[in-house]
Amino acid sequence: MTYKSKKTEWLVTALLVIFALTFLYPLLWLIINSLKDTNEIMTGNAFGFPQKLKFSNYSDALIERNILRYFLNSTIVTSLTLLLTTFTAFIFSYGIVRMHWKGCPKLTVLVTLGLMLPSQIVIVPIFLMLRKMHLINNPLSLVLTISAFNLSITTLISSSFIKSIPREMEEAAIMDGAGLWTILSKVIAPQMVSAFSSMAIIIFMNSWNEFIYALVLITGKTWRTLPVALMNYSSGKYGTDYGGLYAAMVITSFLPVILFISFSKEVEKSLSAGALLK
Amino acid sequence: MVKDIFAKKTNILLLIAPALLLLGIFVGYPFIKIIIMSLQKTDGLTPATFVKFDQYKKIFADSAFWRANLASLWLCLLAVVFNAVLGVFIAVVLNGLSKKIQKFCRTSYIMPMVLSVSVISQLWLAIYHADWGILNAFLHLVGLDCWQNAWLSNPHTAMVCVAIVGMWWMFGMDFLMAYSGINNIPKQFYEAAELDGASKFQSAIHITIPLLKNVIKTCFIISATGGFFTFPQVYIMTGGGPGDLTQTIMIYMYRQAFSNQRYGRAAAVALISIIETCIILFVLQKAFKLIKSEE
Repeated sequence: MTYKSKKTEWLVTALLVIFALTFLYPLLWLIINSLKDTNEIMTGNAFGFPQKLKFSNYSDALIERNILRYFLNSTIVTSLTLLLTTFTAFIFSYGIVRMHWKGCPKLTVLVTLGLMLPSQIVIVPIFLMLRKMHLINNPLSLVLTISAFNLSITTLISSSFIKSIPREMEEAAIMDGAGLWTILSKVIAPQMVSAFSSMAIIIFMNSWNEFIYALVLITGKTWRTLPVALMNYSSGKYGTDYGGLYAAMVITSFLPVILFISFSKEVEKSLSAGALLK
Repeated sequence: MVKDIFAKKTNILLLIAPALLLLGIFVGYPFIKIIIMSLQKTDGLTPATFVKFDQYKKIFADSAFWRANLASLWLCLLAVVFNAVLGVFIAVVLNGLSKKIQKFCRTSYIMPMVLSVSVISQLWLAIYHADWGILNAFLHLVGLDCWQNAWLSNPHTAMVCVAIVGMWWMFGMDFLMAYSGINNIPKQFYEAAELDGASKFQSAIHITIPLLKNVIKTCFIISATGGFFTFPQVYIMTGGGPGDLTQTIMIYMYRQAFSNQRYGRAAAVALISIIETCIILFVLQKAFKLIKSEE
């Protein structure tokens, strides 16, 4: 499919590239302004480059305003969620696809229904339940909640992949005397690398960027994660420091962006699969 | 022996129990709980009292609820038009361009989607800022000073500005679905059409769009629910203001629960919004069926 006349092709290209710049430019602006002094942001040329690169915005954000701590918190929550969700979805999907038990098809339907529920709908009962369990301000509450909401989509990905693995290898392993855990860890898991990576991408994006549940379940500073920290950046004794805020936003964003740029094909695939979740 | 391992009760239980526990506790139970809570008056600390449909009556009598509902439906409509329709259109048009341009545009359109909504909202606060925002600076640059505005506190512009943020953030989703859908269409279809003398426009209308129907439907559903459940951008950027102009149904629910400690009422709002979503999805399904029968 190509355009017949060169003129239309040029016109369409120009329009689409300008449209693309409306997505890209604000992000470039963010990086440029994260190196400006707050005074320059507020009074200087909005489109200009910094008169003097102010790298101290980054150190201020990381140290003075605790972004480093929140970065660690986000890392801890995301890694635990990654481990818990991937493992649970993996064994669950194996149980659905390969095991013989009554009620399995009905349950699969219920799991798919979990995809349709927007997560924020049930925020009130989840908050009340976790408060009763004294898990508010505990990172575990965030890990468990995000894991539960990512379980449906990751189980679907994992089970469709397991279905495509021929049974013969498992049967041979059983003949050699392997038990269930040996089959899972030595026979199935090594073949699942591509499924695990698309599951991990979905879980990483959803957990690193999680805002609503992080806002409600983590009310104190100790376990605050990056997205909520940005919202509270300007509060406190130092007042508004836009340069530092933009530096903190770049710090929050660089991991997902690097992941996207280096694995764009896989990320695109996972994002469109994960679309059903939102 | 093979059968044994796959039918052993303890094995099955070990495999499925963790997932069922997580789903049961964090999805199933809360969902049933909102149905029960919507019939109760509760502040979450003292024991709940059963009030039948009182919460619903009070919600329906509250004009703020109806305004919030209207705001959400408006965001839903805008998302469908500007994300789903525009996303499919751009994907179709982009497909005829060179590979390099395609890659560049695709990456740009999708980039916002991998960022946290928190970053997106702070970024757009900078764009809309009344004194030094990029938008006002841009208008100054092109000589349209008279259009400069306090975008988020002006009641005429606040709603549209909030809507644009959500659309900018999630545009990549619809675009990506449509784009990968188009690339799954076999090239022979277009070659055959070209031999028959079909123009680019004709093959888009007669080949691409009909074959993309299911993808387009998914785009509509995602955008519609995404727009209807708009929450974090509004929470961060305007807090529902000016007044309660940009208050969406989710902001309304959040305020009932976490500002007023009316958890029962919040649960009722949640349930109402689920029913509304079901109606929206039902209408979309019907509409797409209708298109099919016309063909």
